Amino acid sequence: MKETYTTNTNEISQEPIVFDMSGKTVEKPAEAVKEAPVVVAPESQESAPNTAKGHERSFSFAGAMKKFGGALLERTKSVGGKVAKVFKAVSKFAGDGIGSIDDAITRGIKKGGRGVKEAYTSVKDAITSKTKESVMYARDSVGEAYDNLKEKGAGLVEGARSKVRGLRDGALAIKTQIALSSLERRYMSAAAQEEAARTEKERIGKILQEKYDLLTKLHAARAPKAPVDTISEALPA
Amino acid sequence: MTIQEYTQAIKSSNIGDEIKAQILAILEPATEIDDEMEDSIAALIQQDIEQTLEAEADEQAKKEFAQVDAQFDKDVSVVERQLETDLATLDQEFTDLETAATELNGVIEEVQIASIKSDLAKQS
Repeated sequence: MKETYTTNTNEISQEPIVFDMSGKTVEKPAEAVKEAPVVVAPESQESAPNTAKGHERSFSFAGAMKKFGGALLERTKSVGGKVAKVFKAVSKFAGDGIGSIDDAITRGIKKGGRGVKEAYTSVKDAITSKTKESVMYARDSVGEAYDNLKEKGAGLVEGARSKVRGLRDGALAIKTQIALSSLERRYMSAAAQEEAARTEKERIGKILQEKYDLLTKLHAARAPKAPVDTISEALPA
Repeated sequence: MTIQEYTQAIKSSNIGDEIKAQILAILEPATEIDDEMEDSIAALIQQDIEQTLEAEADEQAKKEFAQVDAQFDKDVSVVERQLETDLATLDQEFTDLETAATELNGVIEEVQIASIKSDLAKQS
């Protein structure tokens, strides 16, 4: 009889991880396989001592996220303050329709996706031509680049988090298979014990399934994702 | 499912007492589950699952577990290094943007002065 158990904790894919108690195949979520370094089959790896378990590793990762996130936030605030000054100055100077950063965003400057290089080029152009139009364009470019960078930063952190989740789910699926193979070895040595082996596998399977269900429900219970701050929210008034 | 329902599900689960207490310590003061909490709770549940698996493991399986853990650590460090590199690049981009914004500020002042001069010239 082919018995399967599923986990579904990976945020980047709703495809469940499937592990087959009777075979060796492990299907990982497509996205996790595509994006994350693949956890290779145990046979092909070097043996290494293991002390830390998932808990400790994950907390270490969470620490790294905090560290990177904090640095990013600091940098964002620092740039945000400077950019806000620029926009305030432009608004004061214009007073006739250039408007605030909020107005600029409302006008739809976000749709293009101009980057830092273009922002820098437009500022150079404003320095050379010193026209109101070039200043307006440069201001929009700088604001848009800033918005894009913020989104990029959030995406990088979230991407790394998803990759680690994929790796963690994959490793757990492989370990589950290993444990079940271990059970089989223990009970399958004598044909008479086949029934005992099946019963034992069902018992363990039931225990595991309840725990995997908690992982799935955890994702269902989480808060909806907050959108990335817009520049107008991030910048001081 | 609400956080209260999930907390109840954890309480009545077969998760080991020690890990259950750690999960509840995270869940009970919270009003919603965010990314960090989700990762922390998932890691604790997986730790509990690993304990269940290890209890069933023979010597061969334990060796294989160690190999999977070693590979996991290696893969995670690749992700961490990549993130570090990407964020360093991002940091540089922010610095470039900061430079651009500062330069633009200078131009704005110049254009402002020119505009005031022009207005004054027209008035006189």
